[in-house]
Amino acid sequence: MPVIVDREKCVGCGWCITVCPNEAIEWAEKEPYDCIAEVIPEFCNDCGKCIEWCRYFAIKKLT
Amino acid sequence: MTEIPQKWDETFDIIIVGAGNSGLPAAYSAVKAGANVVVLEQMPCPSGSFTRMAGWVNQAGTELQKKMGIEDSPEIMYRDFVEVCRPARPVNLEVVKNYCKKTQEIYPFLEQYGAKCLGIHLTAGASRPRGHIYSGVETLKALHKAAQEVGAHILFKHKVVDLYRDPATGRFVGLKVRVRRGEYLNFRAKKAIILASGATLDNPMLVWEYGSYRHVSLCCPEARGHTGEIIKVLTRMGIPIRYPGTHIYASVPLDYNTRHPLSHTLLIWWAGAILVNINGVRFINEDEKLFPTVGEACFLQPDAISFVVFDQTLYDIIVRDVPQIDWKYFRPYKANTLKELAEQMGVPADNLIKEVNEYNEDIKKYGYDRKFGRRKCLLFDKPAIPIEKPPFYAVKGISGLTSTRGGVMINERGQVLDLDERPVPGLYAVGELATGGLFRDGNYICGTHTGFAISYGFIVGEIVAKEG
Repeated sequence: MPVIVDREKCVGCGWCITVCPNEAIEWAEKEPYDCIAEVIPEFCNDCGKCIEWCRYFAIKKLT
Repeated sequence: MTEIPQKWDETFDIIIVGAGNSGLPAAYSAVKAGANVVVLEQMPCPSGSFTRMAGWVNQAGTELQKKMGIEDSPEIMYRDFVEVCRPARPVNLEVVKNYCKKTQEIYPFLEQYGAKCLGIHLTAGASRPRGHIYSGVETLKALHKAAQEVGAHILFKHKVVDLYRDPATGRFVGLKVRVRRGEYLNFRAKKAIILASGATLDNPMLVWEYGSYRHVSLCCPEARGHTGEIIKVLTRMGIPIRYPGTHIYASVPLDYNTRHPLSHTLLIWWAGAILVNINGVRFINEDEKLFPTVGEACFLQPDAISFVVFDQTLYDIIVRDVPQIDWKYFRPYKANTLKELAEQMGVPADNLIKEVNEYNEDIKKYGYDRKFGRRKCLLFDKPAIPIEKPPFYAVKGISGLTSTRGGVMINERGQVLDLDERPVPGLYAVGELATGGLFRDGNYICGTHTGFAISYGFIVGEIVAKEG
């Protein structure tokens, strides 16, 4: 199961995007001039690296 | 070295990497000077670190300063900079001079494009008030609008992954851009590439590489899209990156309970609050002129946690005079007595009460506190005030990474320098990436990066378009 980003908790620091080995997370515009992370489910192989690195506890596994 | 492609997908005079607060002004002035310019940005919108700054852009000798009766000039600003930041030799001091001179033009420019200046503060390290207060998002909007209006091409979701360098001449001729997964384009730059891609803080691997494991566990308030791709590529190509390591500072605590990027607690202590750690004890002179000293001190407290403690009087002052604070980003503790406040904060009440009482007595009796020698509320350049009018407030802060003080070295024309201090042909840098060596030991005047980004953006854009 892919992971999901909590839109409220994510501050858009980008750490998950840089650590994702699969290019499965991208920036998405939340509101003008403010971006957060967004998972592209078909590329996510569920390795969990992004969850490990997120300092805002904003990424969860879908169960 | 990556081989130069046979066929180019796109060709422009000038390619700017990063649509932030140095890339956009560079694009503006380059187009104005007649060049065909493209700005490549990996995020879906303009994305400067400005959107998360504490709110000052240092400018000297502006109309607003004159109106407020503040005597200031680029020469004084230059003197401050050299005194406080002590740029390491081989830094070209012409860079600093040009930057100080150009800052005057920022204020009318932003005004023209709709970003209002909300006032002026004295910032740590500056000898007179020149921190012009702006909303980060409004500033970015204004710069974006300016670049768009003159006709710069701005391409979003275009991430630069590699630079092409001609092996025969050593000249940088183009770059490789990731458009989406597995799809790449090659852009050719006829005149030059201007790097405005910021630093490394949005990449934990680079924070770890240049900082320490302690830094990796902190929040990261100020960077925006600073994933460090360019720094990685430059390192691979042998372009020196100066001091990225010691200069990853954890200098701005954020509200622990919200962790919002705009909940800078330094705004509160500089307005007059005191700092205590989880033992309820003060640990530094809050008005210390060298800004990183206070930031580092907060970082070195147990668990990197620091509290700002203040009262209703100061709360009212902040609401009136510190326009960049938005209380919706903070979750302060509030109580009618210091004892209750200490309970909410989870610090020993005896210690906190003792600290505050001592501080109040000293301020009233001597005009300064005897423990660390605080005299002033820095932002307003006014005498420190006692903390005595209930209700009392406290904000719990956890240190966060802010900006880096390292990067590539540039000469006065903005050209990137190699290890022999020779300019690399075809490659320019502006903004946070170009601050290599400017701040020795991380000594820093608040509001420098912001002013430097915009003013050097203007300068380099114009130079490259005219001479490139």
